[in-house]
Amino acid sequence: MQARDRPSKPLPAELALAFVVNDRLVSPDTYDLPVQTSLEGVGLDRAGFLSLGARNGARVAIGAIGAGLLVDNAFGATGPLADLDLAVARLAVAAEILAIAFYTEAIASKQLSGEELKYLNRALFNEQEHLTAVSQIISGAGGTPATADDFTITFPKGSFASRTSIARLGLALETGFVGAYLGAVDEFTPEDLKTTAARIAASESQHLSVFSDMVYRQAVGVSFPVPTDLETASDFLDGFLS
Amino acid sequence: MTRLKIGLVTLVLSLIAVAAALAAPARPTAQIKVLAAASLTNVFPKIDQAPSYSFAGSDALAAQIRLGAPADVFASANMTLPTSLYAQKLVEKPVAFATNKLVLVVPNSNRAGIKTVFDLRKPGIKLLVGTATVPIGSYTRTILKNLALTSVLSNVVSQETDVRSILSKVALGEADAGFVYITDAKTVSGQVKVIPLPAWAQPPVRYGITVITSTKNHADAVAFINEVLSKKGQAQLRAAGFGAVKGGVTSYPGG
Repeated sequence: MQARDRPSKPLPAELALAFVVNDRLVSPDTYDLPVQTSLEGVGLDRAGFLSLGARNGARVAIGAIGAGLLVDNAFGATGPLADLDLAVARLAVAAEILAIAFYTEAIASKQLSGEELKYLNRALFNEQEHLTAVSQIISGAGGTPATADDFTITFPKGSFASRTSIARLGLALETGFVGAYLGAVDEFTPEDLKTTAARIAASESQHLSVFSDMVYRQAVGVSFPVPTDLETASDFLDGFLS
Repeated sequence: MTRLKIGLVTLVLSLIAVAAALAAPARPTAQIKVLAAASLTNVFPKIDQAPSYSFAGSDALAAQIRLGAPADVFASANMTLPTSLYAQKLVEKPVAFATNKLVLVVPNSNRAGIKTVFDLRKPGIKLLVGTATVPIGSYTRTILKNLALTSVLSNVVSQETDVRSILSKVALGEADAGFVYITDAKTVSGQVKVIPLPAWAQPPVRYGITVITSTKNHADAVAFINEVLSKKGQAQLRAAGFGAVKGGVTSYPGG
């Protein structure tokens, strides 16, 4: 991995954490983002990273993977979770499985190219990371998260027949996902799960922006996206999952 | 030349007949007794009408086996009960042979106006569930927990000992709603309305089948189980709405 546009000054600590996380997440084959390969490159050493985690109250685990890169493992919740917390997490797992199926199909359709295809590849990567995160909430509580094998996924006929049909379905799905994760911020009880949901909502909003631009030539939407509750989000998923 | 051709054709036909005989599961010769989950009431006789069947809640059937009831095969609506009996050496190691899904059924009149499972939160709803020990009751409690809806258990007016009791009472309008398997709902098509439950909250429902250790008809019991696991048996199960077991076995290993 080549570092590009490396900042000459140390980044603010919060931004540095995001880059460190992305350092492991970014696939150079699929997206062309500035990539950092070491903590030093973002102006934060290992001790600083740890203290950042401590300051933020986040449970950050550092493990050696491959060439010693860092792993953000801050998603598993501590302590017992309420039924509603686990229900929201289960719904999120299903939503991510649906999202991954959508992006996989969209990419395989070969209806998109250039920058748009790069966006889709990156979004697929995001969704895979989200799935890992929300699955950890369930496994961390002693449960078994669902896998793609547990569902039959059905998309409307012709969904992947053209660039426009893909963009329209993407717009619908991502609108649903943003609403569901904003709803999850309300519904989760533990603060760390609220934070996780908010971070994923922000990521899904970026995906939404891509499709909004493709469909309406308008990448920026409303100031206050609407959260949806568990029931509404469940109804939305029922349209695709059985 | 012609004689050679006839000979070859005869040989090929004989081989086909032998292969077909080997592929088809041997049918039980003695009349065996099969204890089976109530949800299998319609489909098992279609697979083989010869056995003497006793259909009831799987937990009640397991209790009969513990008490030494004479029977040859046990087919349960979960894997928990046969696995527990296996640990007690009362049955052989069970195999999974089908899956199922839960649905909510409401009377055709649907006076309570139930459209989704979330409507069960309305006060005054009369809800039917299985007892906690029968598989349908256990799965119902799991799906309600998965949906964060355990509070609706306060609307339960009766706990039934098997799924068919829930179904018939809802069909008769004795309750506003009840949880049953999708395969049961299919058997009374037109008599109840079926409300699907969210896929993301469904518990894995797997049916287990096994030979009862005390059987005097072991070979016939195994032959029956192999009929259930055979292509023909599985086709009957699919037609009745049961799902396939991923990576499931096609013949009974026994033991």
